[in-house]
Amino acid sequence: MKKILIILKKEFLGRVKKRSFIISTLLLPILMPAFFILIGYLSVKESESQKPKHILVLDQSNSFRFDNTPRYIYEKTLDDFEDAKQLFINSDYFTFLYIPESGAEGNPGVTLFSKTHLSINETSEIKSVLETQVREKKLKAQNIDSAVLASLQPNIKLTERTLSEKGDEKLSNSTITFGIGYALSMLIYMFVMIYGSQVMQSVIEEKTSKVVEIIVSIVKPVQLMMGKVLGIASVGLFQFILWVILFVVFSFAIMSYLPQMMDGNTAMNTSHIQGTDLSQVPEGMDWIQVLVGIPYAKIFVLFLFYFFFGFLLYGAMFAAVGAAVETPQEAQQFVLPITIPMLVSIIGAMGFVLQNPSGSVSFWLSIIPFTSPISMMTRIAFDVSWWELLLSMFLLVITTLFMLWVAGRVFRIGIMTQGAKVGYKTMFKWVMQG
Amino acid sequence: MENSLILDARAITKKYGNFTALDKVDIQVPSGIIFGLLGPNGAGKSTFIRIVNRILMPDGGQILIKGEPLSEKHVLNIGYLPEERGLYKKMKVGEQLMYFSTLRGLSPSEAKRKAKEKLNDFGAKDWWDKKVEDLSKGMVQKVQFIATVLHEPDLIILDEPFSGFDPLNADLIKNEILKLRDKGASIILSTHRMESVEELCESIVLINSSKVILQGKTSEIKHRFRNHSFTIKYKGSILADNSFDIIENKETSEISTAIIKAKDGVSNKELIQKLSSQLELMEFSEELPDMNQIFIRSVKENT
Repeated sequence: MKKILIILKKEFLGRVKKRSFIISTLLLPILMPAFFILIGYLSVKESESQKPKHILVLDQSNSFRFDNTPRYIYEKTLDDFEDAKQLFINSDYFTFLYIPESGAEGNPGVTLFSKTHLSINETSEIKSVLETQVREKKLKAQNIDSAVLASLQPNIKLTERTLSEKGDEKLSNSTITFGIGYALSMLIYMFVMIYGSQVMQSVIEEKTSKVVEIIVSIVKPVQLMMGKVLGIASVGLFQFILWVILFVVFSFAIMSYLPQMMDGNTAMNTSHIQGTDLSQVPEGMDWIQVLVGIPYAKIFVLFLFYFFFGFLLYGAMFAAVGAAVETPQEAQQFVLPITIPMLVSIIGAMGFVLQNPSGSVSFWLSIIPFTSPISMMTRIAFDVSWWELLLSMFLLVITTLFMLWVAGRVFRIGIMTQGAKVGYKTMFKWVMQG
Repeated sequence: MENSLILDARAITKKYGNFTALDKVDIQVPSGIIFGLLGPNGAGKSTFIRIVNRILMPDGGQILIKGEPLSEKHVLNIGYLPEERGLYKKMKVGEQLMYFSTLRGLSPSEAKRKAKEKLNDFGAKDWWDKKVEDLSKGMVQKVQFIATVLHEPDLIILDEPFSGFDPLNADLIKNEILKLRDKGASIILSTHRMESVEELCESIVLINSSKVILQGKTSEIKHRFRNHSFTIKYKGSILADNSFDIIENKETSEISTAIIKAKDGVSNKELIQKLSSQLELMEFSEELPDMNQIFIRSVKENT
């Protein structure tokens, strides 16, 4: 145990003290939002700076009105169709909209000519110009005022409240909880992929640099593997905790800065939000209630659990691969099958868990140990029953222990094997070998 | 305790599938000496060393360290320098030495003190914060050697310790090995360089095709392998008779040199008497085979 700790410490400190770790840990929380802001800013900038596009219009039905917008300038022509078409071809008009005489109601024969493919935005904007006018005309024909129609448009806001067995009412929002769960499962995915392959690389490095001969003369190969996997797992956890701290510090900084900008009486007073007089809370404060209602402790504990065991499960496999091969290139063929269940669970989270959280695919994804670390994290937003949660956790622990044993046996022989081409068959033989 | 054994390997057998790497090998290494572990490539030396270092488990037999069955606690008693040696390239020299010795069971403060001390001894005082990848090849080898002996083990196993060293550094390592022996450590030296065996090893074992074919004190083995040849220097002239044959002879008017071979059963004393009756004997010395010849002869005889 003491030796595992020394190896753990070496792997941990060796990585945490690296400049690249410090930079990525500090910069990622800043860079990620900054990146999105930059993209948003650029797209706004681009649409602002764009010159208006000229659209040639031939309206033989004579029933449409075209107002110029900052983006589009409509130019009407009175030529006949063939001339207009020729005009369009020989000019630099952006598109050519042709409405035949029969097209007063939009159909049929309304055609949009273009020289290149148009984007969906562009066609839909022109389409909506026509549709709005046709609708208005039809409403008028039926004697319906458009203001009346707008007032008839239903607008229902669904408040979600979860009711616990004790009868406590809580404002909830599964979308936000799912979002948090999904973000955390993405984090598990990222950590397993990045740090898992680091386990593999560091084993390969030890093997090729021949340090391993001395190390295994001092410690058992299994101890080396455990120390490595645990050490690198702690790097991931440490980074996560740093991010949480950074996030909390930032949030507090923003929170303490915001009220000064807000009106005095809307300043946050969260003390009675969970109380009984929810009805008195102004509607604008709903999101705070939702945020308060999220079971942070449960999510956090489950995250730690699924992260830790998920990482051990995959880290063990990566370590075994690293021990069996001699170069990262050789490792590729083994890495792909390892990553497939991870991908399945990430895709499944969006495809199945969000659509139907209690469906059988979602259920099995969150029970099967190779996908459960990610799938269960996204499913907990939808109140998974305790037995499912416990079953999933139990199976994950059992499978992880089994995988550590298997990986340890592959590792034990693989780490000392050199120059041999290793396949699944050989690895299986190593596992069975006494 | 002078004659006690630091390492006693009894009937060690190791098989890889159908291939027998070691076949009931018995090796006894006395305490406090430099012991040569010899054998051609593929004889089983490395397998034996790995078994002593518990990297491999033997299929049969037992290893005793100072009379106790080999166990995990002995990592502190053994220092091992593998033939294919490596260090962590990105790690600093100091951290590296600390890592290996704390893994072996030294306390961090003890490890630090000894590491600094040893670096000092090797004229490498200011290497502590240097990364291994920034060191020259010779420096790396010194660090490897330090890592092997830092915890002051009783038994030091060196697999081809001189390979890759320039003559200057090889000499430094040789002196270090002698120093360690004088301090009471026992050293197993596995090497192909017979001149260093000749120079350093008090006892040897020779393994060939997974079996021990020769074991004992170097001087005794040499004695055993002598073929009763003598180099003599003399004045006068020499004639073969019933006690010796002449192998080679360079007769001059001054001092002549000849190599003679005594016939079976003729003692040195008788030989000298015979010679003295013929000529004026100036010098008489027995031709002992060197380790190289012994090695080649034994291996050939056993294959």
